[in-house]
Amino acid sequence: MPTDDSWRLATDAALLVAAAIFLSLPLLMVIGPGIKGLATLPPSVWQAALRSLIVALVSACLATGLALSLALAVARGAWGGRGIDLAAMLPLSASGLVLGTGLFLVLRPFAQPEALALPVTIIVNATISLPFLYRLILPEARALHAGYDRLCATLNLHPTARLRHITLPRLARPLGLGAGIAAALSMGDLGVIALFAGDNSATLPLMVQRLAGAYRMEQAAAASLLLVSASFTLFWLFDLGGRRAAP
Amino acid sequence: MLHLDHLELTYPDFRLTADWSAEPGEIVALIGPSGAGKSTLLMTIAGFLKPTGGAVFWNGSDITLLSAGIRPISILFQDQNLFPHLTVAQNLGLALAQGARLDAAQNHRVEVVLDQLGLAGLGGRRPADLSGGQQGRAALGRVLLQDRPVLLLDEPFAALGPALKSDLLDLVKQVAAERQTLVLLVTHDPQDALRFADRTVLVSDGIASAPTPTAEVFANPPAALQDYLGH
Repeated sequence: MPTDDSWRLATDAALLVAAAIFLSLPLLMVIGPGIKGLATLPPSVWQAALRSLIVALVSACLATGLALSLALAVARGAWGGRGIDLAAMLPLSASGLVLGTGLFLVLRPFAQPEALALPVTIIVNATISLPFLYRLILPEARALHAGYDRLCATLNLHPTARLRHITLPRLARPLGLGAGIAAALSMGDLGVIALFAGDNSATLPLMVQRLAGAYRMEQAAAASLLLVSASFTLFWLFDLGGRRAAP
Repeated sequence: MLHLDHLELTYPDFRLTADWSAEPGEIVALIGPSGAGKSTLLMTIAGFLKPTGGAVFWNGSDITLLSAGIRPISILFQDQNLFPHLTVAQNLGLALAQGARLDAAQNHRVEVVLDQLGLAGLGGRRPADLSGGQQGRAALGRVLLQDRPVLLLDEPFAALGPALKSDLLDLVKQVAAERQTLVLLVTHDPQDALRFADRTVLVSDGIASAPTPTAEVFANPPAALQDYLGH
């Protein structure tokens, strides 16, 4: 029915426009003042940006490597596959803040929380994105195993040769996309770091929060702009890298 | 000599036994109805399935527990014999070395095999850029380079149509004769057995019977084969 279709089109369009406005309005609000504020950002914000970048890169590598190992083990039908499957999904049930609080309580008797802020952030961020990456990689790991495990076996491929020449190229697409998601999530995360960070270990999101809390709105906007650009660039680079490396 | 010593595969809804031997240089066809266990037997000999009883011997040594990659056995599967993301030359290279990079001597061996199979100049292409017949030849090139004394064929050319399939089986027959390779050939087609196999194994009713000279089997088919052939 034409009327039905036009109704559907109209609601689809309205929803899309609403979602676009919902997403782009805050971004647009940030861009104008943000660009003006960039020049006035104190060095501590740039240092925080660098720290966030390193945290994002390391936790993306960690999450991707972990998700790949788990997905390969489950695809292989390894002993305890169901347990691995469950373990990989477990982080979904906890927020970063919950994990961080737990770790804070565990670690406080042994070390200065501040000294551990970045390692803990890296680990928690990697854990939080693990379920998504695992689910992203698993179907393709299964297909690869079903299709080519026996060929690999009859060729007697060494595990490292197999990883390098078969597994990584064949799974490059979901690995790139997954690493991009993990990096972007980590870049923007404001969870554990809020509990652990001192003055010298703040990440960029924490800086944004502190600047906004001090009503330095132009600088907060500039730092936000930096954050959004960095998140998006990281995501885009990893995803592009994956697609480029895919056969 | 390949010897299946009281080999037994017993699953809840499936059972197959085999107790026979085959000699280097001969081609043995495995024929029988779908689901009787032709492929299952081949996968067990290749080392992908563990038998529930009995043993597989090659020249007197027990290879039942060896992993597939170090058995004296190569295999062509029904499909997925080549990695689609690697070139033909890289695919063949994996049969010689643990990487896509080969030394000069290995490169030469790949070139020689490609030449022999009528694939000269196609080494740089991916499998998807070859015709079905060329893909079959490239897959054959992989097992030629693996150069193992037993070759298992799990109907790898069945999708190609009768003429191409016969061409490729002719090629298999020729290289197997040159190298004294023992070939076990799973097939649905009695013509394949009659044209290429010295002896034929009937796989049916839970038993892979001892190989019998092919002409004899078809001149005087046992009841199970008569059923299969529809006589």
